[in-house]
Amino acid sequence: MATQAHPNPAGTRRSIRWQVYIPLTIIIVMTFALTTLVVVRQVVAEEEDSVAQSHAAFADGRIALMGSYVDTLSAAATAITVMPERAVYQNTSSLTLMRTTLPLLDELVRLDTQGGLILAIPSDASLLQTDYTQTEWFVKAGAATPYVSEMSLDENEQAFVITASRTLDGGTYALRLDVEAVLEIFVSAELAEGGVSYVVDGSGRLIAHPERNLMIAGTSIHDAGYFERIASSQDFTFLGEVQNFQGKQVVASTAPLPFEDWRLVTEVPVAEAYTTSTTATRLLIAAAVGITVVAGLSLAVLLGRFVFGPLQSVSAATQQIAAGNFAARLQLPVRGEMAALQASFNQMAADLQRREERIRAQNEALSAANDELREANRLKDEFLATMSHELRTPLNSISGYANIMLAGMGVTVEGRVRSMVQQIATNSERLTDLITNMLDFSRLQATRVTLHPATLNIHDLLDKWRGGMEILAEQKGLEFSLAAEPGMPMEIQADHDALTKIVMNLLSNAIKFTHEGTVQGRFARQGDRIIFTVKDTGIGIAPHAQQYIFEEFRQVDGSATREYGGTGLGLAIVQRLVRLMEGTIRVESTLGEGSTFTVSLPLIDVPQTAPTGKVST
Amino acid sequence: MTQNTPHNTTVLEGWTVVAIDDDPDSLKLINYLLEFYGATVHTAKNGQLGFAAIKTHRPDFVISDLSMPVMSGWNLIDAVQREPGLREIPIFALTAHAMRGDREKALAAGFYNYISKPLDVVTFIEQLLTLLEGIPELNAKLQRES
Repeated sequence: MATQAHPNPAGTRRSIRWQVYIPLTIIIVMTFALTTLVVVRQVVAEEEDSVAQSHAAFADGRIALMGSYVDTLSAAATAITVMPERAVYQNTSSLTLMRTTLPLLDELVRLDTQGGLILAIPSDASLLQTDYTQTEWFVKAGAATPYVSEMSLDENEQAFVITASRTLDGGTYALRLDVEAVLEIFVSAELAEGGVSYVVDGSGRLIAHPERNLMIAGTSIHDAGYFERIASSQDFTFLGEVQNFQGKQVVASTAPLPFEDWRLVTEVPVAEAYTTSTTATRLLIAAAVGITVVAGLSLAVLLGRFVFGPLQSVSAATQQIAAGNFAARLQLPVRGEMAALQASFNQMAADLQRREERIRAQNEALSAANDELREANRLKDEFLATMSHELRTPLNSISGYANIMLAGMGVTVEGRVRSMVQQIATNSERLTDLITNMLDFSRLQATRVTLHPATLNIHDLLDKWRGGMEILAEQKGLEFSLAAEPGMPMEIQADHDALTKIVMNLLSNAIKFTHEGTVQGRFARQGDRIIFTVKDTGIGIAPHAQQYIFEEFRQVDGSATREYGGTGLGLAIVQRLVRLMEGTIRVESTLGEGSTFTVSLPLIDVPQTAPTGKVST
Repeated sequence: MTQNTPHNTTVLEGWTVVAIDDDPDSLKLINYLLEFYGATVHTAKNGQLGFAAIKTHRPDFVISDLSMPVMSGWNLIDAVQREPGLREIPIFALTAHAMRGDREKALAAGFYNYISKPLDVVTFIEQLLTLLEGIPELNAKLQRES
């Protein structure tokens, strides 16, 4: 029963384990994921700052360098502007020197008010190679502000710019500036791997770019999304991550240059820009995953070692105890609550073991007592059997001689003596019946009776039974009949002695309790049952008494025993025999009117050619 | 069997019977009954003495109790069965009505049949004659005698 009520212990164990593991795993993973996220954001933010700073520093350097060039150049321009014609001749050598010290300055041309050449450095300056009075720089030099040409390329594809202006004395000067040198400042320097810096003018046209062909093609960044911010910047501006004019994702910054409306733009590929934070993020994620796995595994191992392992042992030990092994004990190296659990478990097991031993001892004692009782019962039965035999032997002689006298077999008894002998015969028969009933009942009670069904001829039996009963009924002046109804089979399968006892007991009972009228015994077939009824017009049985008349030693009341005689065993024997034959018995009775006992027995089919026994009685 | 009424006291005339019972009063009763019907009766109070009487008198039949001291009815039937010349003599067992198992056991052991105890003195002779009629030689003798 214990095993039936037991739930699947493996299932329970697994579910608790997972109930603990899953939330724990989630907590660990969430914690590390959040920490990683916060740290990564911090690192990215810091790197963004440092990238912006490096961009700013880079831009500052370029601007400063350019500033110095421009300062020098404008100083030179100013000097040339204020220098009178005469002074130009006198200072030819210093001007030549200025050109060599200023790598930016390629050519210098000074014209008088009529456009006549005063000085050209070098003497074969390209500025003068054609009819220069028709060139743009000569025409526009007269404007209010100094003229600056578009950037152009010479025959060597070297970029140059021409600037021209009027001098104080009404002459004209023109400078051809070697932009290559200026561009070098920007394009040669690299902020990071794959990074570029370039220069655009106010319209977005590329002034300087490391890829020369872009410049030559006159590429403009005017249409790129970030141009607006570049054009409007008044100071160094960190643009962050943008898509550049070539469609690449870059981290960009811009700064105005101290020349015209030029802007310096610096771009670094995103991947390169955030190398530190990318690496850091990767490391952090790897670390987080690693720590999560290690922490999870350690937790699993620790829980297994200190919680689930012991729980499993407790479960196994519990099953052992449930299976009846009360010697099962827990001996786990545990501390704290687990140790307390172990202690109380072992305490429980010890209690159970003690109790079980006590019960076993009691059972042994009970079993021994039971054996003694059985033996005593056996002795009682044996005693009863011996006793009945011993009682019967002298009775045999008493009734035998009394009946010899009554039957007149060689002796004659008359008058008062005869009636006395009659009394001896009647009483010895009563005693014999009593002893027989006692023994029968005792054997039935011990259920030691086995039936020996045989093929019985019902008509022979009816004759025999009728013969025994007719005399009794006649003596009381009763109308008596015993018959089989039509349809009753001639031969039946039954135990002869048991059937005889049932019939005789019921008939003699009916005769005993009937003072006038009739006693009828009937055998009939009803389907697969044999029905035997005994109907009398006797004293009847009160309804309350009908319940217990089949109990042993019971007659309707104590006084009946004296009036009617008998042990009160007859009906008890009948009922037990009927049950043994797998039949039923019931009674219907009205006080003062009579009783009907109905016995129903199973009809066992008799083979047509039934062998008749050698024994006949 | 109306001719065999209790008062036909010559029905067993010329018959020799050995009756064996350890209870002297029962033995006397059966002796009285058998003699009443004209038989010559030899009694014995145990199987051993009964066996000797059978050997000596070669009776027509034997009536023997089962449980007896010295030598029981069971041992007696055993001894008679093993003795050539004696085994043809029918032996009837006296069995108590209550001892149900005894009847089948008695037949299996070799008793010719059984007579129920307590003896019903009124029906005894009828019972006995029915049994004797079942044995061809004895039936022939019965017919001759009557």
